[in-house]
Amino acid sequence: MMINRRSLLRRGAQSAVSLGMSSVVPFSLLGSAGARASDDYRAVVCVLLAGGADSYNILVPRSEQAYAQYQTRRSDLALSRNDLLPLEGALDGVSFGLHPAMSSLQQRFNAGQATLVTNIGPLVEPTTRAALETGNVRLPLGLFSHSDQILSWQTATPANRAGTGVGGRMLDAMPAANAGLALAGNISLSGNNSFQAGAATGSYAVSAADGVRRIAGYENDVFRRYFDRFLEDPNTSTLRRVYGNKVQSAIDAGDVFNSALEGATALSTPFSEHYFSAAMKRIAELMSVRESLGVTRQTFFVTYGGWDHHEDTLGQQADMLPALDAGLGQFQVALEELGLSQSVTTFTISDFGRTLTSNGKGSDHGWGGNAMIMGGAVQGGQLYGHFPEQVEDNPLDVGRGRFLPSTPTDAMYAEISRWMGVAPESLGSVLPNWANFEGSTQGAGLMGMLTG
Amino acid sequence: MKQWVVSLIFLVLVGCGGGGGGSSAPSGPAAGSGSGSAPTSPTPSEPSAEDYEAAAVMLDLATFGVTGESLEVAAKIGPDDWLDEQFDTPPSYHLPIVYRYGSEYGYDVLNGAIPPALYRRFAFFERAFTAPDQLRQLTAYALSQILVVSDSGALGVNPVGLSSYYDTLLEHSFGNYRDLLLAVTLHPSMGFFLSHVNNAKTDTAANTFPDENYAREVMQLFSIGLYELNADGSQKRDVQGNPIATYDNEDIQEFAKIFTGLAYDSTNREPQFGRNQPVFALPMVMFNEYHEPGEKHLLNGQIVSDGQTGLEDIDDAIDNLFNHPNVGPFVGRQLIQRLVTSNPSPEYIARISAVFADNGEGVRGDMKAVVRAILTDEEIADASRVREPFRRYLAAGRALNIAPAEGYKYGVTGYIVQNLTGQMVLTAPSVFNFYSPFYRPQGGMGLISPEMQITTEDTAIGVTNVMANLVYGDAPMATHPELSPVALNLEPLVDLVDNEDVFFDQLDRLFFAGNMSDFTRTVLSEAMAELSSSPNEEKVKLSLYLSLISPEQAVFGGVQ
Repeated sequence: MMINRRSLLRRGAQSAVSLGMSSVVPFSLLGSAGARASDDYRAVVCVLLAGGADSYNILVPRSEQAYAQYQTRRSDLALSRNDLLPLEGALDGVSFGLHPAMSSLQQRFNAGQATLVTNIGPLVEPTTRAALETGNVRLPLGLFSHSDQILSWQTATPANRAGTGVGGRMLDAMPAANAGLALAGNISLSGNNSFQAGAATGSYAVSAADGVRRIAGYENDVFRRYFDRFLEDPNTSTLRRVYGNKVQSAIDAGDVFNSALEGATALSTPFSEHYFSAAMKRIAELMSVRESLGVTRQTFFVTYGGWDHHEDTLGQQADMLPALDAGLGQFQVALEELGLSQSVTTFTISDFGRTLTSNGKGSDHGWGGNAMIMGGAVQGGQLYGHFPEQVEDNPLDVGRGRFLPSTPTDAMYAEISRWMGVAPESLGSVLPNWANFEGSTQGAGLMGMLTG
Repeated sequence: MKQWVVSLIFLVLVGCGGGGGGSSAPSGPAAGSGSGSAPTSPTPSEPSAEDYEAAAVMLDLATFGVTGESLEVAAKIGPDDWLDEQFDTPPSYHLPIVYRYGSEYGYDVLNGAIPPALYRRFAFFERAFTAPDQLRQLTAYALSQILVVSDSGALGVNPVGLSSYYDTLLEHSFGNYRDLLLAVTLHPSMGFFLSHVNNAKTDTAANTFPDENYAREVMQLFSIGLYELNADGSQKRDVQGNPIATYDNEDIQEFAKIFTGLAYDSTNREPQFGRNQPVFALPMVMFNEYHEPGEKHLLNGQIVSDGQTGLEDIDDAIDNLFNHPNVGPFVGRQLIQRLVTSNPSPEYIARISAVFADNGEGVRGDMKAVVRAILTDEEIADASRVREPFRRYLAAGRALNIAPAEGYKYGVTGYIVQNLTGQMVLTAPSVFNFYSPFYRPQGGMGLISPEMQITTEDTAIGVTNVMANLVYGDAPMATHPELSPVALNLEPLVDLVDNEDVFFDQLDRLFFAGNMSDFTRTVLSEAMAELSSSPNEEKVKLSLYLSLISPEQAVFGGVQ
């Protein structure tokens, strides 16, 4: 298949000119020529558990007293202590276990390749309940609201809607990383998202089920010729140009992807048929053609939704967590097959943690929760952050067991950004609020989670 | 997704005896509910080109798609009379179609049998393609993206839940928003989707509290939104210049108490609180012994007193929300975005808010007045909106007289458009719909375009493949041809193709709201010239295909 690079370049230039911008291109499809050495490759995979996963039933205290507190607070939502999968080690003197569905995570944790960051969530600056109650602190917009907190987690700018996300800004901060198809820096398995929106970098959407879609139907060449003609309309409007450019870049980049994917590694690692596993398999395949795409730093984004368990939390988690655990575990095996286990870090985010207390059927919207991180570079076998004592008078409890986060999202993202290769002096451009936490106990407990 | 589709097909084929029932006549899209086909008032002269263009704009905005016939009618009587007739046309409901398929294939739906979920798709498409009450069907569709339920869990399995919910939207589309809000609150599909069915009062012994889910979303999404608004949709600001939250988490917990005590009704025995079998065709019923006692604090300092029944509490709470000044601008802006334009001016929103506040006869929340005002506003001339991929499919289907292929007795399922674009009625990923009403695409000069949020590299190609599939019936794209092969009737267009100007005029009115640019006309003409020796049907197909994939057609209005 012919790779229409001229067309790619032409589109990039044309859109910049037609938007009346001299230097700012919305995103450039092609960077400068010349690929970087292939062994210098790093990628992160952001798994969004959309809906607000009840992560206080994914990570559960096992020590006798701590479990008793958990059981009291969670009442009908409490897992049985005997069912928990034990994690080695302890945090602040308390031992922990995982939800019984999370056996791959348990195995990787105990092998030192996975961890969880406890009670993490969006914050703007160091925050206490007292400051919260007096209104004497800047807070994330729309606390406890799905649409707001799902953005807060993806952007790490919870007090404003800047329009860019952590992944997009990470690649913005490393402009030399992707010399080939720059559009392939951020690849989404779940459509447009805020995590991958950058000021200079865009994202490319791939179907988890069908991969990179080809123009189908009758007479492709007619389509191409006339679609090109339509784009030459000198009097078109902004929205028509935005739409037309999206189709055009999809066609052109699709050529590059499809051509590259002809050289994809046929993975021998078995993946299950669940949507999430299929998406993780696509990601592994796309990573195997990173050299053809000319990329050395990538982010991947995939949504596994349906975690808003106001009802039947125990049953729905028992249904849904096995697919999460299987997908994460299978992906890690595939990375080993590709020789990329040290080069890829996978982490979960979610709208929010949930109330510890029950509504009689499930749990409601909370704030801090527990994030999972997996990969060869993870210094696993221990937990990070601070797990809140699950008692009614915990000063972090802002109502019904909604925990004020002990650790800001920025702390985890700072670790990830540094590991990806963002220079210390550029960290502020990726995480503008991170400096607010300097010298604070909130966020100080995380350094060293990733190495290598 | 694919697995799920395949298993549904299996369910239908097995459940319906492999389609071997045989004796029934093909059930192509039947005429709506039998009444209300728009009568035309006689006019002395033939409609002018301007009449056709005015009709094309109105039909493009106010129906699921322009058809040759509707164009003739609307051009003759004019947009205003056409609107009047639409408001007077009785609703064509969806549930009767589910029951019709149910009885045809041996499901005793009225006695609790659960028919295949596909039937609600057949019902939707039959109505969208052929029902005479197009404006009502479309208004309900717009409302289905504000008052969202989706096909998860039991709602993905039982067609009664979603069809009955859609019928509730249809019933109130031209009624009062307050009645709509109450009906939606009590609808079992919403109770299931936002979990306020079987929501019990506080139990201190068990350490459980009322479910906050519905309390939050009815405020955030269905009525007032997160921040105090001016009538023109702009945010009010406090002295520091910050937006002012409409409620806090204590308000959520108070409203959560209001929405306790509701459970499914029952058709054949005494209903019970907490019973698991959903009965989707009847409103939920109140069990006062499970309703939170005591007074509750509503917004703006209003208090409901102790000792009321649960339904009295809900009534008061719905009134409290409905009378909040945010509802007009909050709901009005989104209806404008669904029906007309993505970036309405503050003045447009303010005009709609004013009609919402008072229809001219002192009535607040009159949806008929609101819809009429939205569709007759002066700003329509400046409208710009990326068309929803799902509605592009519907409009193409309507214009081309789509129907199940000869010999097939099932209706249209919509799987092709859903698989390729991710959009299909009542399948949003969550209560937050397919897109945010505030989404700004990259490169869009700051313009809002919600529909661009689901326009990715993947779906941008997907929607062009939908059109290829529709026009050319490309076999590899028909993922499940056994289910929904469709036939088009291109003859009315083939009859016109020899006169290129007349033919393009008709394409213009069907797909471009009478506003096709000279540029697009030139491009189509170039394409036609390539097929000068081909049969007329091939010329029609190529012009259709290119029209339907063009960026000009993909975006209503060319100003922004």
